[in-house]
Amino acid sequence: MRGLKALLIIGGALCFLSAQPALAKTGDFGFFTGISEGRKLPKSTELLLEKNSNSKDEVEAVYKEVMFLTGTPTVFQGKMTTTTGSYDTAKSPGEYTVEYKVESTDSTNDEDNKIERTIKYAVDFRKEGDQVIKDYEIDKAGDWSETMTINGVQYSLDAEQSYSNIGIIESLTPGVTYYKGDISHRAVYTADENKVTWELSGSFYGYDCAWSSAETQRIDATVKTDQWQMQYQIRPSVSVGKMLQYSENEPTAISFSGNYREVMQNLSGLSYNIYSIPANLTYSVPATGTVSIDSFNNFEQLIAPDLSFLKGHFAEYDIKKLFAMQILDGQPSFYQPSQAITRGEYVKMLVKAVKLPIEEQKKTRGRKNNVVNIVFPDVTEDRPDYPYIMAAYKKGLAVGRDNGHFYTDAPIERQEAIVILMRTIGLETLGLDNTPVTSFTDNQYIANWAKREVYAANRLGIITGDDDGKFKPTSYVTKAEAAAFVNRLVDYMRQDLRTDYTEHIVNYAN
Amino acid sequence: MKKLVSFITAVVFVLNTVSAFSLELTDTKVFTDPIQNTYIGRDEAKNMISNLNFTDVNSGYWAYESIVKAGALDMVKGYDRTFNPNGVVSNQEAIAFAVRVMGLENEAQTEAARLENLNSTPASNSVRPVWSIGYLSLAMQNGLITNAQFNDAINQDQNTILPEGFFRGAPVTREQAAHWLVMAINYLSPNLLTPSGSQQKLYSYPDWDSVSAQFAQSMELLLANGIMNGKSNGTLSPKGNLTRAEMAQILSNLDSIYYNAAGLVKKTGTIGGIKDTQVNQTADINLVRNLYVRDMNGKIDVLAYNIESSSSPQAVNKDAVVLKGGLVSGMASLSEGDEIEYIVRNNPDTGENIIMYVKVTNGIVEKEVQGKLIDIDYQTGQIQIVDNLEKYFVYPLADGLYFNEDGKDYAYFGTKKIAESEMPYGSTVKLKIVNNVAKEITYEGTMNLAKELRGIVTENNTSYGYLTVIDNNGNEVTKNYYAGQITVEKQQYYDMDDEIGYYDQIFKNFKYDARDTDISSIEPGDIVFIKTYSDNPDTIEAISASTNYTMKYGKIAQFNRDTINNDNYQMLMQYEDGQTAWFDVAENIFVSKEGKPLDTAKIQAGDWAKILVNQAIISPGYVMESVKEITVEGTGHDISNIVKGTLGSINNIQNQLSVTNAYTLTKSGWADFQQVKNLSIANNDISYYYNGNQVNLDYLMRYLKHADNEVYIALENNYSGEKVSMVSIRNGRDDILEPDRVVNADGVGGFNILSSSGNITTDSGTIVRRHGRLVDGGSIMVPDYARVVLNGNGKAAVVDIYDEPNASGVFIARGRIISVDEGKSFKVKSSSILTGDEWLYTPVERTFEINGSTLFLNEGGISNINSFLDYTTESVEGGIFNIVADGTTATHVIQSPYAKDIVRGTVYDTAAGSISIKDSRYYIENTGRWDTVSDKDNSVNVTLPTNSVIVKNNKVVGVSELEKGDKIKVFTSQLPNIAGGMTVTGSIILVEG
Repeated sequence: MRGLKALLIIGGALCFLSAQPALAKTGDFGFFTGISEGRKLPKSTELLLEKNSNSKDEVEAVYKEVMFLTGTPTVFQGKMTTTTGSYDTAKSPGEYTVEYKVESTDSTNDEDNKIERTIKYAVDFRKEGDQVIKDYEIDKAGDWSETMTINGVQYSLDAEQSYSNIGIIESLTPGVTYYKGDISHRAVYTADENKVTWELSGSFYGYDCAWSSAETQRIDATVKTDQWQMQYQIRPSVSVGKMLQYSENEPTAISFSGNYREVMQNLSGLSYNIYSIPANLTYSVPATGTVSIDSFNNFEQLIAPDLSFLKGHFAEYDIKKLFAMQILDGQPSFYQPSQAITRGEYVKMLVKAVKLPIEEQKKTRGRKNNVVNIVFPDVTEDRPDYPYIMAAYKKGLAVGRDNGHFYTDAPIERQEAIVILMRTIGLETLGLDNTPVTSFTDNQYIANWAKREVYAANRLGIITGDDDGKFKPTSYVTKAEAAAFVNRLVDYMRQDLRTDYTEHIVNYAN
Repeated sequence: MKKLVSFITAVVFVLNTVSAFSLELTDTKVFTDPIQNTYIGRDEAKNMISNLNFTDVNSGYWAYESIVKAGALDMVKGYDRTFNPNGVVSNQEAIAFAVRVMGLENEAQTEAARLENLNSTPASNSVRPVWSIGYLSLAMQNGLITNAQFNDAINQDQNTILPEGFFRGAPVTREQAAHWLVMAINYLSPNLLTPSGSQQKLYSYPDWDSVSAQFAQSMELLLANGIMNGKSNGTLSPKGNLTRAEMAQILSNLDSIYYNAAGLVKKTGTIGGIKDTQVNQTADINLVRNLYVRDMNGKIDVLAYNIESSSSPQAVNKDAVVLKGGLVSGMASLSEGDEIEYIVRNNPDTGENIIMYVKVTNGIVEKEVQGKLIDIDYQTGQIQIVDNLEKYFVYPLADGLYFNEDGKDYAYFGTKKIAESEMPYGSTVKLKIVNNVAKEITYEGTMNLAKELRGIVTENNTSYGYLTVIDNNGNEVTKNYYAGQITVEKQQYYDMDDEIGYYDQIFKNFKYDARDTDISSIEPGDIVFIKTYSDNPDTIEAISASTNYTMKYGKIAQFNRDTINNDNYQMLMQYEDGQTAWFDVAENIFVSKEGKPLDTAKIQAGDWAKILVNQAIISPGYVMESVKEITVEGTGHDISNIVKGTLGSINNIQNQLSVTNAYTLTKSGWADFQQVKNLSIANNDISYYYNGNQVNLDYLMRYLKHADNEVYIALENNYSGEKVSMVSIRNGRDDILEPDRVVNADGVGGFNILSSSGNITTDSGTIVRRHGRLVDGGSIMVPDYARVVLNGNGKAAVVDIYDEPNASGVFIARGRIISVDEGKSFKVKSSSILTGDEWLYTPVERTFEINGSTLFLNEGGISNINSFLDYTTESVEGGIFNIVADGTTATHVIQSPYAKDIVRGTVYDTAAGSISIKDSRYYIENTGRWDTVSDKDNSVNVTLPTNSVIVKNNKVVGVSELEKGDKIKVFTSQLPNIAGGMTVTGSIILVEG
């Protein structure tokens, strides 16, 4: 657990608090068709306590791997130690090192079966706009050493003939970092003077946000010996999400009736399909299989503000959840669900929903002579929503209206609300076109600048039409509706994204 | 002047006449940016405004604007509110005009005074009455007129001049005026007029040859530079008269040439804000209005206007001629947001800054300009572009259009943030200018060479040859095509070849081009780029398309053959969010499972799948979706086990649910008793039922834990471990029926099975597992083979449907091979057929066909068809083999010893290469009886050598397809000493029904 704690600190620091945007947490479980228990998401309180650090960290985690070098699947279980060197994203291009050290034994009973692997990658990265390119390579032969013992046969890596390359592209959107990578390895082992070649190629997808993160690899592998060859596909997946649970209190005489808690739930598993197998093993090996790791779930209590005056309201639970998550703050009794939400309030909610970094207000005004750090004339530094709107502005979320004012206190239209919401998770790109035709019956009333986002939100199921199939783009959004929008967004980041990056890949061989 | 200044400083109160909210100012910095110049109206303006409201010229007149401007600039004068536009310009008027163009107005006045002084001497007294004498004198000095002409012109008695002399009052000819004007301009600088080389412009007029030779050059220059134009009848009329209106127009056309000469400055800008200062001084009311104008360079000018409403004759009234909306008025008519063109006089000697003329160019509040991006100055917030004519423009950038982040400068292009390092300097950009401030920057790139239309297809009518798309502006556009002539490019979603692109169009037939297709492949929903013929913009020449496919995930709730169109299927998809949708599925679409093709007919209800859908929005609210591909999920949602017991504890932090007194459903009924069984509830799509009604986990935790009810739980085979899929709690008594065939099903959940007389009902809490998949009761069909667990009278708690065990179809024979027809068939002399527990001998010669999928197994594993020979040392002729045959085709030919001893039992565990069975019995051949292996330990371990074969449900299967509870018969060549836990080498394993 000590290692896990270290990981929490780094996770928190990288993800939310560093002034410089962090690189995504790619490759949490290595690239050798294994799975680890994954890392936990930092708790809210931890986030408040953590300090900014990109320094070197070492993480130890439970690790499992299925090895096919003998032609049949053998499950190994042990630990993986990941050591990540320090890096500074402010300096791009840059480099750091990642070392994966695996020590595993056969998960069933055979203590003699074991894997010892150390592989150290030199990672070059460069940041180009909102994207980061990473390249993993092995600098010298000594950086990769590996010995395995399976059924009494020792397999030793021939480092001179073995290669590994991983390339990753990350896309940093305001709320979510998405990434995709490709893997190519060739490992050559010597076993009793025979040569066994293990070739892996495949790709992986992952994302990282405040509410969940996931990475799933899809790797096609071939094992070759002089006598036989086998082919299989393996799909390791590790994800973690914060699930929300409500529990009602038992005593009557308690000042709050119940509260939410967040459970940090890890799911680690892999699924494989064997396509071709050494002839002598045809009937004795299952064609598919899964391996998983159980993990211990952490949880955290969330606050329970008094919202009894909302009992029975349409959006009671949306509002309750947002207050519990502290996406809504302030005096609950001032919260009037049927009033129009202002542009400033809405943006603040979204900024908190994706946990955008909020910069401390600078004491000195401006960097240069008379350049004041005010972008929108109506969003002055003395306003409480100033840091939120500025945070949103810096990520391109908040754009002023025609004449540069933000109109903080103006009501927000539904189409404006959806545009900002979709940009928050960077998925407006699903809109295909700048002005796609949406399926809403009032499509003609949707402004051209909003069509892309409205289309994308509809495609993702974040919004649907009303009974008449209308979107009502220019209606103002009430506070209750805004709570529903934002809660749906949080749910999307908790669950839908995670499903798309895990089950939708792991369960389908292709 | 002094008084005015004091008014400005002595602010008593500010009256904002324009807007109640100063924050709504369009130009937010107009009051705070530094002021460059302050210009003030002039006293004469009041009369001029009155004069210029001519009765004989109105705003409809072609030269109206020019006349007003000329009037305001003191160039032409009206008389008693008439302008007399068709009045003829005289020689002296034309000369005066030319001299003003030369910028010698002041000099002309001085010259006139000098000549006047001369005149006061007795020597000469003839000069005085000629008003134009100063101009004429300077014209003479600069060679516009000769000395003789000058003398003629100043002659007091014009009647004494010879007819060919120079009459100052005579109408000037147009060519003469042109010549003087050119000379005047050349006086300023010979480079101001662009020579046009050959005299092309002149020749386009029919009366060009009436131009006098000495004036032709000048005429051409003025025509070429757009300063003079032909008459409205298309002629030049060089010898005709010049009207006052025409002269005003020429002045207007001279534009900056004249202004520079006359010490005037023409500027454009936008009135960003107005501040009124009303000064109450004694009894007089004095209003000072300052108009804050942002000029074309982004600088601030203040135009001051001053009205004193006192009746005193000394009343100050500093105003200027304003042309707004076709009416001449004063500065009071100007309002915030007006775009103006203003001409001012900047007299550095006197420090006088006077407004001469203001023209409101409104109507254009917004405009678009295009040019090459030269510079963005982030300090001042200005953008500079240059247009095609090499003219430079500077516009202030709107707030928010540029910013600094982490020390780097950015600007927005549309909604995209572009860093300074990526700024497309030198490329064409389009600016949206609102009130002279750049509000939006759009990247235009370089020259547009091809005209392409982009849109989303709503209809492709191949019969009539037209295509309808919705373009980027949301307009519906229809274009025609000739199917035989159109080039069509479309990349299919499954086609990932990126080595083709445009060059396949440019280099035809370069290589195989997967994108080449025909027009029929363009379907609604596609995104297309359309090129039309240059001479026929309504007909498509070429089209390039991309599919608009969406992936959808969910469970196939129903999958039936379409009753009307038998080639199609109808599929009900239930998405992950619970919504459902019906789809038509064509027989020939791509279907795959576990990376392998799957027959469409083999899709079954309960399958999870991702489907690729082509979505076309035909019109708002009308969405057409068609399925292009179905990928059936592997085992991810397969129901791996069904468990019953009593609900124990629930730990919703570790996501665990425990069942006490748990049994697992196997082929032989409830088995595998466990005191406590822990199950994972980590997935969040679990459904919970109590007596058929859906409830939630909280309800279970409160009311149903540790109760005496039966809980039935379906577990699914999730990648992250076995997980609960469905929990159903029932109050009734558990009663398990023997598996049997369904003989009647009503399609909504009611059914009967063969061996049980009662009707069986299902509800939403019934766990129905059909071939591994969780389905609802409506999917139970005749002739499914089902194991039913009842709970309560006729109420099914669990319905488990699987393949009816039977061993017919494939059979196993053993015989000696007598001949091989290589690669096709082989013959056995006689054979024994495995029937029941015995090998029955048939002395009949028999031929088995072999094909590519026939497997040949021996102790070394698999060899291929090529090793099955009747020659060489590998010859199989004469050998005895076990043959697994389907009809006359041998599927497996196995070299294996004669296995006649039998052990049978129930599978309780499997592993790679071995099977563990319990309840084992073995066959005693000589008694024909079955005996238990041991009274104590009734298990047997079956090892599977490579030449063993397992037959289940008519198929040879792998060990992994054996299930717990399967009853098997193991044929072995040699039984070991009979003992509990003994190991038997299996040759043939048959799964019994």
